Order: sequence, then C-alpha cells, then structure tokens
Amino acid sequence: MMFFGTLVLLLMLVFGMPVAFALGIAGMVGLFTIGGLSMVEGVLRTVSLATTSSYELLTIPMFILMAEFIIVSRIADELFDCAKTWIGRTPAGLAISTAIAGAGFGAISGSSTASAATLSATTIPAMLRNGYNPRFASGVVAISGPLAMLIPPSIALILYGLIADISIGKLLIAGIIPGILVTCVIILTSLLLVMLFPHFAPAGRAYSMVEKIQSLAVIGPMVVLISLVTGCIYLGIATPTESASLGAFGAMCIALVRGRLSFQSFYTAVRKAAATSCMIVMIIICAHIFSYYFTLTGVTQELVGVVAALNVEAWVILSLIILLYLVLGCFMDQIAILFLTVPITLPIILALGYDPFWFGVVVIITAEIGLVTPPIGLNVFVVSAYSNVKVKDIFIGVSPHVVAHLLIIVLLVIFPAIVTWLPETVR
Amino acid sequence: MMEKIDRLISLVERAVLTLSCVCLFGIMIIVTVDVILRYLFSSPLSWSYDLISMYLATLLFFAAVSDSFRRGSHVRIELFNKFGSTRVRAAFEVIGFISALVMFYVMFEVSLEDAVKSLFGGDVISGAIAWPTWIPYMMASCGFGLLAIRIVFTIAERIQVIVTGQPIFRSVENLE
Repeated sequence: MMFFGTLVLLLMLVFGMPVAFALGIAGMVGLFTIGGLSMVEGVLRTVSLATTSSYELLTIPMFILMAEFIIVSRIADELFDCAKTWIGRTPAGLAISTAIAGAGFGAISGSSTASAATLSATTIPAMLRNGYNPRFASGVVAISGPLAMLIPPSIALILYGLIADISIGKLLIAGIIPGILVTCVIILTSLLLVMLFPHFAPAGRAYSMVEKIQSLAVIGPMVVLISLVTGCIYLGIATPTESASLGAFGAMCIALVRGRLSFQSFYTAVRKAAATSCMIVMIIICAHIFSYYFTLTGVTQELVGVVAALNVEAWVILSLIILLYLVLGCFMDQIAILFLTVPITLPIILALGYDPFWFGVVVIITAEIGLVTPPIGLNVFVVSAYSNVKVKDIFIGVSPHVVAHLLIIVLLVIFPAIVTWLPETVR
Repeated sequence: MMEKIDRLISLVERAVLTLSCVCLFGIMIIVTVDVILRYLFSSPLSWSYDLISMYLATLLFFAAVSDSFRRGSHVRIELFNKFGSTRVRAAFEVIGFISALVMFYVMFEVSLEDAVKSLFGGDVISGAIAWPTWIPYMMASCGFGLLAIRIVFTIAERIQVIVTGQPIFRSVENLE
C-alpha cells in the first residue's frame, strides 16, 4: 500500500510535475487504494478549507509581503554602505560588511533568494572595484544570502514549524543564536582566507567620523522593524501572525517614507507576495492529502519501530539523517525537502530523544548548505545572474564556507543548548 | 485559436488575482489596526478573526491559485527535465496534468456541493456576527474550477507539442 503511493509520488516528481501536484496526486491515488472513492472525496472535501482558514498560516504571506516591501525600500543597499563605512578599510572589510548586511537583511526579510539577489547587486561590484578576488567576493555573497533562512523572520522555519506542529514563535526565536553564530563563522572564514591569501581582499578606503555617524541613519528603521517582529514575538506582546502583519506594515511605511513606493512597485510587491504565498499554501494542502494517506498506512510508526530496534547509537542515525539532508539539498528545492522529508524524519528524531526546535534549526542549516552546493545551488545561480561571475567560480569561492557550515552542524550536535536555551526563556 | 483562449483565461485570472492582492493588503491593515486598538485602547476588533480566517485568507489563496500555476510559480524538481525529447517530456506532463485535473475537479465539485448545501441550509457560524459559511466554499469552488480550466488548456498545449514537436514559448506579455 505504502509502496504504491510513494511510487506515484516519485514518478510525478520525475515527470516534472509541481511538487504540490505530485504530493496531492500520490496522496489521492494512495487513499483510493485504501478506501476507494468515498475516502478520496472525504479527504479532498475537508483539507483545503481546513488549511486556508488557519490563522497561524497567515504568518507566511505577511512575512513574504514584508520582504517584498523591504526589497522595494532598498534598505539592504544602505545596510552594506553603513557596514562598509565602519569596517571597510580593514582587510576583508567589505566581505565582513557583506556578511553583516546579509544578517541585517535576514533580520528584516525571510527570503534567502531575495537576500542573495539584493546583496549581489550591491556588494559584488563594490568588492570587485576594490580589487577583491571574484571567487572570494561571490562566495561570501552566496553564503551570506541564506542567513535569511535562519535569522527570524524565516519563512523556512515557519514552514518547518507548521509541518512539525510546534510553536512558531519559539522556533523563530530558536534561530537567533545560531544565526549570529553562522554570521560570525562567515566573518571568521573570510578573515582566515585573507590571512592565507592576502591578495584576495585588499584594504579599502577610510571614512571620517562624520561619514560614519551619518551612515547610521539606516539603523533606525531597522531597529524599529526588528523590534516589531522579533521583539514582539519574544516578549509575547503579539502572536507570530500579528508580528508579521506589523512587520509588513512597518516595511511598507519605510518604503513610503523613503519615497520608493509608487503604485506600480506597491502592486508588484503585493502581487508577488500573493503568488508566492499561494504556491506555498498549495504545497501545504497537497502535503496534508499525502500525510492522510501516509498516516493510514502506518509507515511512520513502522519506520520508528525499525529504527528503535536497530542496535546502533542515536548519533549514528542522526548523522545519517543529516547526511541525507545534505545530499538532498544538492538536488532539490528546500521547500520540497521540508515537505517530503520532515513528516518522516521528525518522528525518528523525537524517538531518539532529540529536541524538535533544535532539529528544525539543524535542518535549516543543511538547507542553507544545499543552496550553495552543486548541481542545483539556487543561490549560486542567483548571484551569478546578478554579478556575471561564472557559476563554477562561485562554487569554488563558497566551498570554504560550506566546510565551515559543516563544522557548525557538528558544534550544534555536540552542544544543542546553543539552539534550545533562548526559546526556553520566551514568555 | 489557442492564443485567444489563453488570453481569455489569463484575463479572468488577472482579475481574480487583484482580489487576492486586495485581501492580502486588507489582512495586513486589519491585523495591524487590531493590535494597535488592543494595546492603546483595550478595544480589539471583535470581528477581525472570523472575517480574516473565513473569508480574506480563503480568497487570498483561491483567487491566486490559477494565476500562480500559469506563471509557473510552483516548485518543481527540474533534475530530469533535460532527459528525453520534447515530445516525450510533453507526453509525461500530459499524464501528470490529467491526474492533477482529476484531483482538482473533485475538489471543485465537492466544494460546490458544500456551498450549495450550506447556502440553501442557511448555515452560519455561531458568534457575535452570524457569518454565512457558504461563501468560503464558493471561493474554493471557483478557485479550483478556474485552475481546472487552466490545466485543461495546459493539457491541450502539451498535446499540441506532442503533435508538432515544437516547444511552446509563452510570451512575457501574456504572463504579465
């Protein structure tokens, strides 16, 4: 029974069907084999409205809308300029500024692709003008983009939370310390590379104190937005959905005040947010259809039983699961990976005694690596399209950061409290 | 002929997409106002939760469902799309889209049934405001119906590819 539905799912994915359609069709066929047409009708009757009327689900369109308004406001460009003014004159200063701008953009936008595109357009030309090695420069940008997946508001973390059925608010907070850690590791890796190869990143020009203080003007709106979103969630002032709406509203106001919001850019931002949200909700609906079928086959429980019966240490199974995510990340879209694997891997992880919040963060970091590893590496293609640096060169440039990210995963496995401590303090 | 049909369907899709955009913007404004009223005046909007979860969120999704498919916004695994000839890939897609058509047609039909039943039964939710329940069912039905029509058109396009062997390049004007 279970084999048939999974076979249909794999065939549909190979046929090039959208992941949502593939999940829905496989679930429908699987349900038909178990309970006939009446079961299919029963599930299809309830699943769509039950999904779309979820209030918590609105966090996704609101955060996407916020990201679109942030792109319109072009605040990320100025974040980089600000960081450059303060630390640009040091060796690798512009690369460090890129990582800081990536983290800053991540704190006000949940889209890693948008972050990579925005950073590429601004930071790579600046670094190349200063004589930076193109591989080094594009590698830093490619790895800084995915920071948005980890630092709240993260759409990927919200999706994980919806699949895992755990507190979205706590999950978003759980991403803060690992996000800062990843930013620091990107900076340290860049510094190490420049120490080994000084010609990669010559020191930039110095700025006067007046210029430095003037550059801080961009920090104000950022602090307001971060307070609205992360602060409200952490302090329990507003739910994640409310915080997301406040964030979207705040981002719209910033774009308006900065004179960047025309009717056309406003409509484009809202339309893109609606289309992306619709794509994600469609996957959620169809994943629910497939999960009904999966639950009825009892395969998850069987799998957990099999794993429990294995006479191996928990860390061996965990390592295999992480390896699976790293391999899948090379070939598949991150949203697809989450919906196709988390319903299977999470029960195993829970049975092994690991924390679901911690696992979510680890999965997202593996997804970050997947965004910059060949052959798919979406962010590398985005950076290449915006910077005209060859894809091969970016893959080479980002490889030291991939190794550093793998070390971060090892660190999080050894010290899970890095992730679990902060969400435990949430009100 | 195919181009005219495409334009007609696209016209409807773009019109309903505007509704989706209005809903998205409306949700943002209502939730923001609700939070502000709750903290500054201790007077939240009593009707906002039901209005948003029953109607606005539903319309936000279902009004955009067909247009997002037309634009190719859906995530796919494109690892295998280089394999096989144009005709073979189109044939596989026809099989997949026919299966998807069956699923979305069933969803359209059951949503319509529920909408009609709810409308004639006078069903409303219990609460301060008696919101009618047939409206979200009708929104779902219209969304899935339009998507089913778009999928039928896509199947026809793919059959044309199988017959002629020529891939289809949809113009940017038609997408925008």
